[in-house]
Amino acid sequence: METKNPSLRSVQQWMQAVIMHPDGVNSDELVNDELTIDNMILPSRQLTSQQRIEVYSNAYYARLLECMRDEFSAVVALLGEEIFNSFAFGYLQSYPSASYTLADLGSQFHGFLTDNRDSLGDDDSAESVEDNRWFDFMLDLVLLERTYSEVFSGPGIENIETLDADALSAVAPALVGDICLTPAPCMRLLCLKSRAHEYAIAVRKSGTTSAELPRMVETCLVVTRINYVVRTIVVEPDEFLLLQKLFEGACLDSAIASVVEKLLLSEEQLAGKVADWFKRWAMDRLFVRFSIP
Amino acid sequence: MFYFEEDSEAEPYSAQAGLGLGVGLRTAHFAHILTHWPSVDWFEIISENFMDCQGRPRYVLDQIAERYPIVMHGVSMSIGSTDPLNIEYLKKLKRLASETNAQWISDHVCWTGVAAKNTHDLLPIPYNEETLLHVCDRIRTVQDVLERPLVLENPSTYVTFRDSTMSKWEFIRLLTVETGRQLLLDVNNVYVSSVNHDFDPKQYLDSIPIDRVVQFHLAGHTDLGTHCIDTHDGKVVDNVWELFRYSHQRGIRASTLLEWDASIPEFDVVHNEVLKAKDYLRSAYEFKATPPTRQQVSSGSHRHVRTGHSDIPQPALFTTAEVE
Repeated sequence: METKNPSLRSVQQWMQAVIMHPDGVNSDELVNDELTIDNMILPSRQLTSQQRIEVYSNAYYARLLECMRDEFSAVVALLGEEIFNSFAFGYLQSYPSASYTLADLGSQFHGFLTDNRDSLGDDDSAESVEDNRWFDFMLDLVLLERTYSEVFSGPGIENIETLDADALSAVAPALVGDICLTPAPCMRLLCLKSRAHEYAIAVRKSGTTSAELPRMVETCLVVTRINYVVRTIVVEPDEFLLLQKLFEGACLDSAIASVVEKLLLSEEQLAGKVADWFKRWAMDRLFVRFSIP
Repeated sequence: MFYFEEDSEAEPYSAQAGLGLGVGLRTAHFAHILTHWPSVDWFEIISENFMDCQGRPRYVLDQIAERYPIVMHGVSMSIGSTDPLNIEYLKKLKRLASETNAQWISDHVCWTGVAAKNTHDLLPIPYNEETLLHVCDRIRTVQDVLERPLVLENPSTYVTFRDSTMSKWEFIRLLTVETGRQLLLDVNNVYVSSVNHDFDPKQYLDSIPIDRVVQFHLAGHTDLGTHCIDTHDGKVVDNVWELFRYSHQRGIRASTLLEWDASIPEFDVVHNEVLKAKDYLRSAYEFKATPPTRQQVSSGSHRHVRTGHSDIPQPALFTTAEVE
């Protein structure tokens, strides 16, 4: 009886399953009476059928891991290539690329790692505390480096006007509290558990870091882009909170009230700072326009 | 004297055939290009690295596109896949082509994934009637969306499907005839595949319709002795240059581009490599080309083993953020 050739669809599903399988082309999970490597692939003069398809299976993870290492270079510096590859290998199995662009490859890495910290102890032992500290720092770096990628490639302010320090002076005093600010499209706010930016920037500048982990201290960052280069700005917690509220669309009065309530400041204490912050935000081009609803 | 079988009417070669001699635009060379505006005839971009980008790479591309002809070369169209075509992706390609005044859009005769996954590799297809019909249909759809011809490249391959009922070159030739499409002839890929599939690269080139080729690709590869991998990480080897020369002696006139995607050297090294093409083109009419035969390819007698450094075919290019 003549055997029917598998359809193109079947061939592609089979080949993809084989080359993407984390255990390699010989995994027991790939055993199929009809679709075997020898049944599907001819040998060459020099290579067996299996050796030939291994060119693709070996390349699949190698290529994507290389891209991951390029994007998360500071995480690689922290972990070393072997441990980084191990994390990234697990990630690529859980989140295989579904995008036409490699720019999206690392988009879920932070979420994947966050979901997979279960193996760490949560007791008070020194080992457990150190493991968690180390893991938190790694998460900070992953979040930061992914943010750098998104800000670098995303929309920016290079070709648009941004809000200057004098723009608000034309607003009638009675209406200033109603002002809503539109953030620059490249602005991101990050609240980290460490000064991961110092580590990440040191790796980018010199490729090396000290063996010491940076201090684990809550760090508020604004990440933005000026002249196509990503810039990291450290801000104080009260300034960060106000930026967060404004970023979410709150009007100035409402945003200030939130900060006052949360940080137990007086409005007078905050008012003095806000004027200075506005000047700096204008210099850093953090907002593109204002509106009064 | 070389025996010209099909090109007796052809014009004497000019180094300016088509767009001339170009190089692949890579981020590592941005600063050099913007500072020196080198005398390169044209640049080819990896489409996916620019179609969503609104940052510095796109800014640089826009400046370069004002001064040089641009060609778009993609790696994710997946023309051979049995998944539906990504129309949104095609629309973005079209938009980028319009914005950069791209001379043409190319991709590969391959598939990159199914079930909504992308392996980011150029995977081989079985060469048979079913695949031919499938790919021809999709080429027509793509061209309808792009509203311009699609140029397709022969990729390097590493496996032969038992289901294949025709040779690679027969498949490429039929595809060209059926769709009237144009070809990007990668002579390095012809060479790499000839080693991996034990065929005579000259036979492949002899089957290519001369008037359908609009572009050549040249690149380095890694020869592992038992097989070759298309790694784009080094200089073009002599055997590939000979195939390039032989292609011209057959009468193919097309724009020529050098790809260098891993262990990327200084811009001048890349540029000088593609400029070597001038010598081969000049000599195409003076000497008989001696492309390696199937026996020489198989035995390795004409090969420089381990010319490249990597084992990863067609290395992917990830654009790293610039951080102050």
